[in-house]
Amino acid sequence: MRRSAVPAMLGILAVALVAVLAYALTRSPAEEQNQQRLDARVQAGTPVVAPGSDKRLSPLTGGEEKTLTSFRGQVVVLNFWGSWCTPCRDEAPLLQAYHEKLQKAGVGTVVGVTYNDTPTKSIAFEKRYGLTYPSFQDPGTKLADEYGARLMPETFVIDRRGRIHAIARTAVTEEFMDGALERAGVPESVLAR
Amino acid sequence: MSDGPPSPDQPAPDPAAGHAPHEPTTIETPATAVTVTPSWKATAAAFLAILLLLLSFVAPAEGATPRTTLEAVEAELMCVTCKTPLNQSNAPQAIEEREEIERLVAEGRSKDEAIDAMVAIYGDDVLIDPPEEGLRVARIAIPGAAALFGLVLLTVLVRRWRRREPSHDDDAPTGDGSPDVDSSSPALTDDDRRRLDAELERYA
Repeated sequence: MRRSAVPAMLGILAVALVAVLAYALTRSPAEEQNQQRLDARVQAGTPVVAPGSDKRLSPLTGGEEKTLTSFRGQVVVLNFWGSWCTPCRDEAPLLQAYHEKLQKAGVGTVVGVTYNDTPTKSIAFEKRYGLTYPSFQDPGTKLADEYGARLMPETFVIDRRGRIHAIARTAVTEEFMDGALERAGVPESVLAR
Repeated sequence: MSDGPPSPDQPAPDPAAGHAPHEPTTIETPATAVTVTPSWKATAAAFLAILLLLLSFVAPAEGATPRTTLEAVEAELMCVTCKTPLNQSNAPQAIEEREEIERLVAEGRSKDEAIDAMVAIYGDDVLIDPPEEGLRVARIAIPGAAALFGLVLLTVLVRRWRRREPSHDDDAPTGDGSPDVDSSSPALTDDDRRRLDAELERYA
């Protein structure tokens, strides 16, 4: 009885190990899980707390590090971009126009986060498109991973309390920006200007 | 006349004494001036020589600071999006990374400085050999442990199987009463078969 139990136990352990390995091999990466989680909740109309809000970010142009929490009290259009990304070039003027509207009304800002881009090229991109909103570096794409952002550009509209109301995993359009900012609490009068 | 330090063998001038030519205690006599000037020049020359000698040691040390090459730096790095060694990739991201390395090399950065700058931009993922973290260790340790466990399991099972084999009576008679030679005996070689036939013929 005792002798026959040993191979049975070993067999069970072997099966358990194979199951663990199979799970590890088939499970989706963390950033993909983050993407699915955020998208599902925002699509369901439930604002979700913006992840990585306490992560310290270095400004592209140098200076004091900031966190997303330091923009609390303002509506934040968090935009992940790279100078190498063609759709980012297309949407840059639109984002700049909305940044100016939000700043003029004193209700919000666009915040850029670069993705796998060198500061030299990012700064040249900012100059070329006349971008005045702050952009930060994200070494190792740690913040982008928390948002499941992998295909540039990606934009997240965050309200004054730090909750995501809209996600664009492509270049933003005027229609998207108006709807998203309105849901995040920006008065229609500000957007109509 | 007091345009330089006095020579060591001369008494130091008394600042309170001033430079009046009528004072016999000053060194500003023509005779003293003749003896002091060459000595000061010699001191200055010696100082300059020592300085040049020291600089000749310092200069090669500065020149020895490695000004690295693109090849040396990219051999240590990965293409962060394609997840392949940088020197084996021609993806747009790899080209971007190479351009940045070339810029850093042109700035005169050493290999380590260039690698640090790349890590500051792309994070640890850019390193071909990133620092170990708990999960990375587990990623290697778990399959390793599984393989070891499989090996142990296989060894135990094979030993048990081999131990049981002799106790099994393979030559037990078959249904018709004759021994079941074919099913249990090892396969006969041609040589064995010839010997067997010869023996059978002898006893037939």
